[in-house]
Amino acid sequence: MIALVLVILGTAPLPFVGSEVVLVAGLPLWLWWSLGLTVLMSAITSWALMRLWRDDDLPEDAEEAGP
Amino acid sequence: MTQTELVLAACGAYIVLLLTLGALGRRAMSRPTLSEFFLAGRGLGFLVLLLTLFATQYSGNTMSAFPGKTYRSGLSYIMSVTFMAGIVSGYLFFAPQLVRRARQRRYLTPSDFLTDRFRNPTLSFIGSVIFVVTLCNFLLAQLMAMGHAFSGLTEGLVPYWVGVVGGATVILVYELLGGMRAVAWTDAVQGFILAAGLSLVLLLLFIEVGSPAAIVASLGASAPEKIANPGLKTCATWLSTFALLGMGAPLYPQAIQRLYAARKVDELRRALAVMAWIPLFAVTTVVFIGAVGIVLFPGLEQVESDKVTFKVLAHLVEIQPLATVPVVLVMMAVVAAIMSTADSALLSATSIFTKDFVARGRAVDEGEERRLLRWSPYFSVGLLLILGAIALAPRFTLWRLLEIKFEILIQLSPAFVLGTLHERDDEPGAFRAEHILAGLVTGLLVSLSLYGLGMKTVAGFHAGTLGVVVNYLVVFVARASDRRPQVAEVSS
Repeated sequence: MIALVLVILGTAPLPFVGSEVVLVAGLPLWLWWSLGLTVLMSAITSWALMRLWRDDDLPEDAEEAGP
Repeated sequence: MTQTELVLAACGAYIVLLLTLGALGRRAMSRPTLSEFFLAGRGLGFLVLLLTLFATQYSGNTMSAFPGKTYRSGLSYIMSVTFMAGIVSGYLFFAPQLVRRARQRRYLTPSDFLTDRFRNPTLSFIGSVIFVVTLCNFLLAQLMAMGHAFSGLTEGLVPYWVGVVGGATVILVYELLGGMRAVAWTDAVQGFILAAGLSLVLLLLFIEVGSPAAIVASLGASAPEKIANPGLKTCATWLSTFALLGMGAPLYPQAIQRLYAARKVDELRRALAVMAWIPLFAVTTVVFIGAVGIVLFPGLEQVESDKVTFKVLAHLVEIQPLATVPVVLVMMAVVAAIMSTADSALLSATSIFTKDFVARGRAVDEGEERRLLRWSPYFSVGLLLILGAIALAPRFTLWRLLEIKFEILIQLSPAFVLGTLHERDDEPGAFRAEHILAGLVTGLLVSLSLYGLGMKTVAGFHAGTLGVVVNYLVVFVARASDRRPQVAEVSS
């Protein structure tokens, strides 16, 4: 979760504030930075969904009454 | 056949398909219970879940307001890719615990969790009111978008008011016929059209207009400020919008009800895991449309810029007549995105009226469920009549509507994120109803006061984001200063 939060905070292109635009493969470097971190965030999220969310499906007869 | 005739024919075929799915949903309903009608009998599988989550999350705002915002802000609006991906990340903070409880205790509405966990009628009531206000706001935005879409797609042949009234009637009919099952199935069709439409428009723009690098080169020459490194204020807005959507959008009542409606937890996890990647394709495409719009149609005003998607599509047909059929599919995708969000919001609002307000959140027997279900169509019709009347006299841009609802919805974040950490109020260290309520009221006051004073953002941070920071602080301070003994301490 901490890694996810750090990645999220990093997606804003703060390191590029106040500098001139640098193009890499035709696109601004700050755009690559933000999209790259977004890819990382999606990877962490899907990993966490599959690995950290335990599948604790209960049998039907284990259900309790409604709220 | 002209393009307008083609659009009308496609719309007609599409409406027949939606109504057919509504009728099929009716036939598939095994018995008249609230969970059958509002949660599809808790039987949604992986593919339908994925497509319905996709279609619900990607609304008319995504297709028209996002390109419009890109048009006005420039490439810095690529932040929308980040914050849409962040919505799925936001689920990690409460969904596993919420889904476990929902499956054990048969929750129907999001407020069922508040009632069950906190056992505080005031908190449950405020929660339900916030959910309904948010859904009304959502539904209103979609009704307006529907009017604009039908009018724009048929070049005025279908007037705005006919788009609003006709679209609302179609949604109402298939929703009343098949409930969540019909809504989820139509969402699945709409999600498929949306994905196919976005893929085609991306391909067409690449072939006919140019690659992203070519568009950036054109922007660099004609509007260099649109590709400039974002400033400090833009970065603040970036993080604030991320917080606003990352904490607020997972709390969409219609999205939470899809979590409840999953057949198996494993299928739900897999659907969400795929959803985490979708913005990189879907939102990047709509941002690209907005960037293309800057190059092709410079100088559009605020409201006109919200129509930039349609202008770009019309341009594609002008320069390449063969693009007509794919463009019509894309136009249908816009309509699909709007309708799928509207139907989900309507169904969710109806379920909250029925369960939270009429049944007052308590468990009901099958006989009373049948009685409640007989009432629910009146809520749906009444809500559409009121919101339809408002939609016929619109005053805000789509984006402003989108922002307002998050200001209040996000204030429920501590209730779900901190509330799911413990089973009950009396556990050691648990956040109690009073702590959550104090934070919620303070957060609402801060964000609505700032909004009311015209301070929609402060140094780039949204009023709602500032409100939720205060909200969390108050909750933690209230817990730290709570001297009442907990049950565990008393018994020891």
